[in-house]
Amino acid sequence: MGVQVAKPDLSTAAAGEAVVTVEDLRIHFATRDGQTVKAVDGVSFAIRAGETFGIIGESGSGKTTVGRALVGLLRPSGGRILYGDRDVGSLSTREYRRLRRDYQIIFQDPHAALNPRMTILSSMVEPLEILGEGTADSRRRIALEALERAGLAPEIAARYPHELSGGQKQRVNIARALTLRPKFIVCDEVVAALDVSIRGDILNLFAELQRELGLTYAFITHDISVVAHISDRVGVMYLGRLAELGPAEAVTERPLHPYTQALLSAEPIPLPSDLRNKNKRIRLSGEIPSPVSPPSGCRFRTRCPAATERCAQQAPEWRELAPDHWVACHFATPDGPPTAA
Amino acid sequence: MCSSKAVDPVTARREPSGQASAANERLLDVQGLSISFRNRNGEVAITRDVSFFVRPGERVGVVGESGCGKSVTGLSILRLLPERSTRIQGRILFEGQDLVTLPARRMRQIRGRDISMIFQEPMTALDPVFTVGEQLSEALRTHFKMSAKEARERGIEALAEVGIPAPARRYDEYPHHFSGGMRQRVMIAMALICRPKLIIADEPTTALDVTVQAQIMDLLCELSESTGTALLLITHDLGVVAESCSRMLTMYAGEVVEDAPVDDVLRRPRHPYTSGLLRSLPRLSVRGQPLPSIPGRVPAPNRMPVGCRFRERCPYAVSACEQYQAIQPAGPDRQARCWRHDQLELPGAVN
Repeated sequence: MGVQVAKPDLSTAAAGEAVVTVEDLRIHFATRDGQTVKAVDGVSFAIRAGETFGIIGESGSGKTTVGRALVGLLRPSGGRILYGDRDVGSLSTREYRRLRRDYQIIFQDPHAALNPRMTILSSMVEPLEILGEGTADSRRRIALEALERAGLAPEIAARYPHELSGGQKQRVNIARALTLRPKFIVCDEVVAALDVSIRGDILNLFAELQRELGLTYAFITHDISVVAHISDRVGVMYLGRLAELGPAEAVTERPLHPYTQALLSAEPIPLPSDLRNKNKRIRLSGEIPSPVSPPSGCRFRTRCPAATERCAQQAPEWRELAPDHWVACHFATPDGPPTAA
Repeated sequence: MCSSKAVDPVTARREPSGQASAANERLLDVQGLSISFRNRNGEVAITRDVSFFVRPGERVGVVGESGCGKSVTGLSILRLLPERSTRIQGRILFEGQDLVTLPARRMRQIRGRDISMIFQEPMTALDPVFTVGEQLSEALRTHFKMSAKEARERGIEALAEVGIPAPARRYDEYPHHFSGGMRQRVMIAMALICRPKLIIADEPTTALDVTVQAQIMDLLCELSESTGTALLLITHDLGVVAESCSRMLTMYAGEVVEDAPVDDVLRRPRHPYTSGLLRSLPRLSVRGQPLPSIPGRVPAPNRMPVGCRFRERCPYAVSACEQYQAIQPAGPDRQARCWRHDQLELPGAVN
């Protein structure tokens, strides 16, 4: 395979070292009537080199906003984002542009992410053209190599997006991100628009590319089974904050936050009735509150079966209850979330 | 939920069908349904020889990937496909009468009253310029002689029934005042308000978050049970079918390839496509291991292979699969469109 799409230089980011660090990130939007939507409101985490960091949450949790901020598509209203040890906000435009190419994003809708009037090849070489890299010939070669790496035949390059299936288009988007030899890719619901039978293929491709190229992923999804399968660590977001963060297996099998527990229990399980735990479902009442006026104290308290008065008065601290396993709940213990009051 | 007045126009008409329905009675009986669309370049066959039935009060799931014809089949039952460009062959028997040939006027009497529909996207299915109440009561006043006042009372009751808080106030609000989950509750209330015998729900929870999906599916199942309404649930989500239906139809490339009781098919599917679908669910695989998937893609409608339509993607295909595959009995109360169904030990959702 390609020389150009080679392993990124990992010497600057040894395994375990943070590729991206987010400190007290806040992203607020002003609405037309003068209110503030607190889409992300105080989130901190670090994504380690070579890992897949899953972010799950429902619509309105802020997961996509975090993802966009990670690659500079949104500017933080507060807090900061570090690439390696460099504060993105303090970089000069030139430095930022140089660093930024290591940080890419792949979007949910594979079709919308491709210009319908451009051939696949033109879409593929555009990022390289913008960066002024190489010659037309070398750009073309890089693009074709990336397509091959993403499991596509070179003939695809001459086609237009409408001639491709959804799975092929998503492979093109993956290939396009690879042309820049990134270290880190935000994958925002990248399999949500694909049929079940080909999801596996695309997820396998991500895993393979990670092994071969040493990529680091932030994998944003609402699909718990996907996140549990692919991630090393998982962060659970609720209404602009992290509710829980820890090793994927621990979070998805032994959750500590009542919200994570409810989220897991709500997932429908394709098993015969005698193998399903019928009483396992925790029914949450209502829906996620508005991020314009989030509840005081713990943000989950309005839907939490175990909420007490304290939850309304005091925001829970971010506590490490098990190794590398963090939770924001007053009453969670290393044994699990609190039970209903 | 409906008040038990002496003569209730909505519930009274349900009594004849009653609960005494035999297990083999068929409320909906689709026979050999082939649907094709005409366009400038000719005709494109969308479904071929689709046959299945729904018993009174039964909940049947239809699964399959995009383009398999599941939504088109659902729409055809209510005759919601564009008449000019659609050609329908076969029969759709509902309580014995063929909906395909029913006069439009009779069809309008059935639509919304005996059979109703819930769509995926509640915002586009609700009319933004009318209040939720106006839209709720419209169905009632169309199908029953009812005063505006009574229709309003029933509309409010219906909103309460689907768990909408402060129903009397919300009745007069517009769809944009409602959240996604609440809108889908309104859709369910509308679908149920005439106490239909069958609800066709096309991806009713796909646009919703998983915690809200759980609420809505629980609600649909509870109401289906308490009112004896049958449900045809069209979805790509095998988990939703497993938890809410008693039978599952698998569609592939315009055909029903498997029809079986849900627990049986999850345990041991009889068609390789059903097996492939179940195996590609991430939750059944070991973390970090490659996920199984089905190679290749669905053939285009105008390029359907002769013989088994799944053949090119099937790991078990042999030369005899190039022959036309009829759906055939594959055990008690189940069928599969695969001549090898009893030779193969296909893995299901249980390891």
